Amino acid sequence: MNYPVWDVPFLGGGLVVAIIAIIHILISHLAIGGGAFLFVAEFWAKKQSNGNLIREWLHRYTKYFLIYTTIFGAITGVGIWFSIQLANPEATSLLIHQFVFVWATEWVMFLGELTVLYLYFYGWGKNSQNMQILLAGAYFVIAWFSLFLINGILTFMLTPGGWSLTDTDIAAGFFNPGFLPSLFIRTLVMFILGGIFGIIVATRVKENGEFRKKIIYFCAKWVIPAAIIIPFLLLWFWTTLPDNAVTLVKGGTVGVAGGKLEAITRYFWLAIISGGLILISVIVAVIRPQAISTGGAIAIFLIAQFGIMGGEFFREMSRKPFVIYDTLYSNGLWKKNTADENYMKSSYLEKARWDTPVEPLSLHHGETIFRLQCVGCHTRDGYRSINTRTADWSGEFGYRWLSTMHETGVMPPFQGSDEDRAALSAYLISAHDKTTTAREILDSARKEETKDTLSVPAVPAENNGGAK
Amino acid sequence: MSSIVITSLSAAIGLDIIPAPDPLGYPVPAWILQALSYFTLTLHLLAMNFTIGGSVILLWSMFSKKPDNKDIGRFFGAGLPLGVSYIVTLGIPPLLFVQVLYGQFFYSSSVLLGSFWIQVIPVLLLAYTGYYYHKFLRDTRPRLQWLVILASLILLLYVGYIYVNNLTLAMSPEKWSGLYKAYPGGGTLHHGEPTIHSRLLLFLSGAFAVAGIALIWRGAKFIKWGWQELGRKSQQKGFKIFLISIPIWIIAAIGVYFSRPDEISTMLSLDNSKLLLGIGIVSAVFATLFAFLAVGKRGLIFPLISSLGVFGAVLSMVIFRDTVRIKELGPGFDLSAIPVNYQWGMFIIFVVTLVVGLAFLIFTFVKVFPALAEKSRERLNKETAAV
Amino acid sequence: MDKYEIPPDAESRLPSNDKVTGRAARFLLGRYKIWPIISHLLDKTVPHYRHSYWYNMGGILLFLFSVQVITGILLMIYYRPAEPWLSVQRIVMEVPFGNIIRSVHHWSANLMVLTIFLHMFSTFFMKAYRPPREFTWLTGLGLAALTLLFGFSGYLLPWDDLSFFATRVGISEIDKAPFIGGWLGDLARGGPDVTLDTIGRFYVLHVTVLPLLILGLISAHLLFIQIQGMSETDSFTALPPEKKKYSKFFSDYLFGEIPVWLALSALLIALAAAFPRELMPEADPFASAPEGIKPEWYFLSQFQLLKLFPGSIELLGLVILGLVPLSFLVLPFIDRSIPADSRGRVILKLGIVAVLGLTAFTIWGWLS
Repeated sequence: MNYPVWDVPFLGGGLVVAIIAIIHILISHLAIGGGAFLFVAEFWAKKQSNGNLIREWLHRYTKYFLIYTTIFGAITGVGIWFSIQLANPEATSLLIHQFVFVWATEWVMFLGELTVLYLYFYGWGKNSQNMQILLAGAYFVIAWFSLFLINGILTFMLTPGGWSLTDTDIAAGFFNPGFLPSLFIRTLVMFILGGIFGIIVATRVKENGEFRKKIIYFCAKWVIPAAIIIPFLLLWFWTTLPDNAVTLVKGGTVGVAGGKLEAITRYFWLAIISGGLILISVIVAVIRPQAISTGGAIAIFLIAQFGIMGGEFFREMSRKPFVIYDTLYSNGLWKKNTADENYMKSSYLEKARWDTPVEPLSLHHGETIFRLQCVGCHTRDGYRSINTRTADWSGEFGYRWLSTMHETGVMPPFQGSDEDRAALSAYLISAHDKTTTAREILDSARKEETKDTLSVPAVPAENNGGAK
Repeated sequence: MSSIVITSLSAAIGLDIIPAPDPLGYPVPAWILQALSYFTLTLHLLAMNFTIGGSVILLWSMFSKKPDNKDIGRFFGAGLPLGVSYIVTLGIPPLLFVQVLYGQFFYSSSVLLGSFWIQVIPVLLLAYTGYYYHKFLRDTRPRLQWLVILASLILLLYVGYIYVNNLTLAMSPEKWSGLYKAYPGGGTLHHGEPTIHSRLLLFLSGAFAVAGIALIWRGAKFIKWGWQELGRKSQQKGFKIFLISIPIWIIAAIGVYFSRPDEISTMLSLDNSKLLLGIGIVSAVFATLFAFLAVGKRGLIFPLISSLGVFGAVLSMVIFRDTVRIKELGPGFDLSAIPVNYQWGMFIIFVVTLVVGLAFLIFTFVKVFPALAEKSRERLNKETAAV
Repeated sequence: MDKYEIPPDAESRLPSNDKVTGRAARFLLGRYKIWPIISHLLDKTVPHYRHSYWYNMGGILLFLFSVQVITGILLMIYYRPAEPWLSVQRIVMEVPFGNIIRSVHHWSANLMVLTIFLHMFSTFFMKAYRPPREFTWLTGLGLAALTLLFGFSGYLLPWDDLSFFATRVGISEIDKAPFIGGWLGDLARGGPDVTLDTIGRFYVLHVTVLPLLILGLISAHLLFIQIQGMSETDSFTALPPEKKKYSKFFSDYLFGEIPVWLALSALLIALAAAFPRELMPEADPFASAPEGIKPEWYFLSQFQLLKLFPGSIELLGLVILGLVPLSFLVLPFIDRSIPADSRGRVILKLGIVAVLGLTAFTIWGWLS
């Protein structure tokens, strides 16, 4: 409500961030893993008898790598910034003001890795072998540090640790509980991606005998050990997750309303299964190196993209309903304000800066509340559709449910007066051609409440609670 | 119109619609953030100017029959992908600092722009791909390369256009309510802003200056390597191209003046206006003078001073613009009133990393440059031998 | 009687006796005189050129079918045809991973239908149906028809709103056929209306009759391919011998296909994660059909075409619709020339029209 809400039909702002982000993660993690790969490969090439052939293959690796990572990596990275500004300016503002010099330092890394990569590639053939090794190593170290820095900010969002609004200790926030497991997992993912990319480039080598076998064995060493270690690191990461997320994933192997698994569970299994499939496919490549085609190697890379999709969606969904855990809800509500009953129950539109004049209890009133409080995460009939979720609602049911929705664990508490609640409920059911007005809902609810106060007060009335 | 604008801007700070500044405040005093922002924005603008100027020259060279011009085209064709990558990389810190300093304005205008703002991303992707396509496939697939470059150039200009829309809207909070009512979910450009096109032109005015100086650097290198005639020609061309910037700048400045005369009068009424004007004019003069002097000489000091001159000129414009912006936002907007929650530790880490990083980059660049130079020389030898 | 002698050329081609595979092979060949078959299979090659990737389609179909069999068997454990909707609800809400298995089954079905179209049209454009491969083509058409029937019969089984009404609309199209339409429709439904009796028939079709038929046809289809080898396009055949590259099917090509299958598995899980199959409310035969009810996407083009011929001219629509599969059936008998002659080139162009038309009608059906 401090900022206007970006309304993307069908997808929703959050999904735009997600799509750009999962593409970026694949490329950026490849960029760093590829750096390590190049560094070690340069050493390895030095020791081999056909070092020249290997270095020719590395040159080709670097060319594809450079184009892919500089174009798509850099632009999608900026794309994440653009999309998070739009999808959640409040949270972005918090992160920027808290971590501006972390980001500035990360930028120095970007400048460094870009320049070093250009020097490495464009100096090829003329630079001394030792210079190439230095440049490749420098590239990896610099690029890895950029991950180190962004990892702090990213994990901070889910597990802020000792940081709080009253004690904004940047070190506590940066080195939060999730920092190390995430750092190690991401580093291993990078090695895996570097290895897979190596297999893709290996398939472009015309010679299809001993040389290709040697390269594929080299690449497989980057994938197989890492793929085996990651599940153990995931267990470590698991221990840092908020209780809410753990409950959902554990309870989520069976369905919830609508006959679907909780989304977080589905993406969790996608990540795990994809990891297993990558392991199997690279083992196959090792058993029959001459059999892998470029299409097949790209297929393995695609599995990695799916795995990243699973992992990143899982990580993001673990944070629901917060965008900064225990601090800021995704719809702009600050946790510190939820303790103040008067604040929560006062008129929402009077608190919102970005609102348009409405007639109280009209459908427009409800729509405005919907836009400002709900559109940050929900679309009407697209991703996380509100229409689907309210298909069976009556006006009164919605009115009651909105006051207790935070008990589900994945929703923020409702901000607003009874009138706001009634207006929103009326608006939501209007999508299903139900014509109960907000006034009717309010009157009926008030009648229920007076009935209850007249009846025996000892037991709280059951029909004033949430959905059963 | 203009006087109404200035008074309502002052009142605008009292507007409820402007979000409160971020409660976390700043990690260091505002002037440090501003200084960093000015410096890095200037670098970003120079990279942008190189790319735009280089694209136009490349395009022109594709239609020229003279082999000299073709060479110049090839020079830019090879450099433009790097130009774009440095535009993006150098654009990161200014974007960071504008969010720190003007976040409440910038985010609001960005969301109002909505899908127009996010369009920058796919547009940049396409333009970038186009430049690389040209660089690596210009010899094997020569057909329609001009179309690829033209398209990439137009796409980059579109990005600039979107940026001008966003930043001017950010500074016009009195317009937000109306636009929000019409587009509550975002998705509008900054309609009714009179300076958009002239301001865009002003940003672009340095394009030929920077591209021209690049040719002068190139010429100096050629002379050093023994190609006197080739080098001289490059420098002469470079200087001629440099001069084109001057009338463009004048037209752009006049355009800004006529669309917002009050902005110019505000500018001239500022405390440091004489200093900034002085720096700007002196820099521009030095830039032009040393570009002229560089012709025919092998010494790098001439193009260096000329480059610093362009840097100084652009920097002074950047600072001017920001000081006018702060003045226009009125008495309610006071950077020094924002609380500072000191993060000296992180700031020092940044400064040290920056210094060490730059030192390392300069060191490696100097070490690798002979290899790159040798490659260039070999290629030139082949090409001149073929003639 | 003692074991059989290993043929001499087998001795030289088999792995040596100190390897496990060598000993296993000799064990087998000593009991079953199948060396001619094995050596024929070992000789099988796949042409390697720019269109080679299309040869993957068959393997992908076999893979997707295996996924259907495995997930189908798992679903069968909990599915009860007498209480269809409740049992599916239990699968998705209570059975561990039931939700994922069901969604994978749904998405694999859709991918399988898509791949069958891709496979059919790629073999069409590569002209792989020409002699001596006419019966490979015909069995392939049979497999395509069975796949669509699998899709149609399986769609009803959850017995929710969507499946009930889509099936009812679909079978009502069968009613329109001349003479036997009504009888066929009643046969499919088990009466004049779609009821639990229809489930009985569709279930038996889906898990017994169609699997038996499809296994028979797959066996025939694969047998023909193994005996005859991979077909080569005219462009490949025209290459000079030194440019013709082949890779061995067992086991290089086969191993090369594995990463593609694994990527498909990941895709299936991703689709199940991002677009899980929902369970609509239980079918209510007395309710009116949801507005704009449509069949599944692979029937949309036919549905849309028939909508162009309403009322009195609907017979014409059915005839035109029938012409399409008919023309595919007679194809190997009218385009026989290798390399392709002018008739062959015309047929190629007609094929392009067919693909475009199919796509256009499907999109049109989707949008309306």
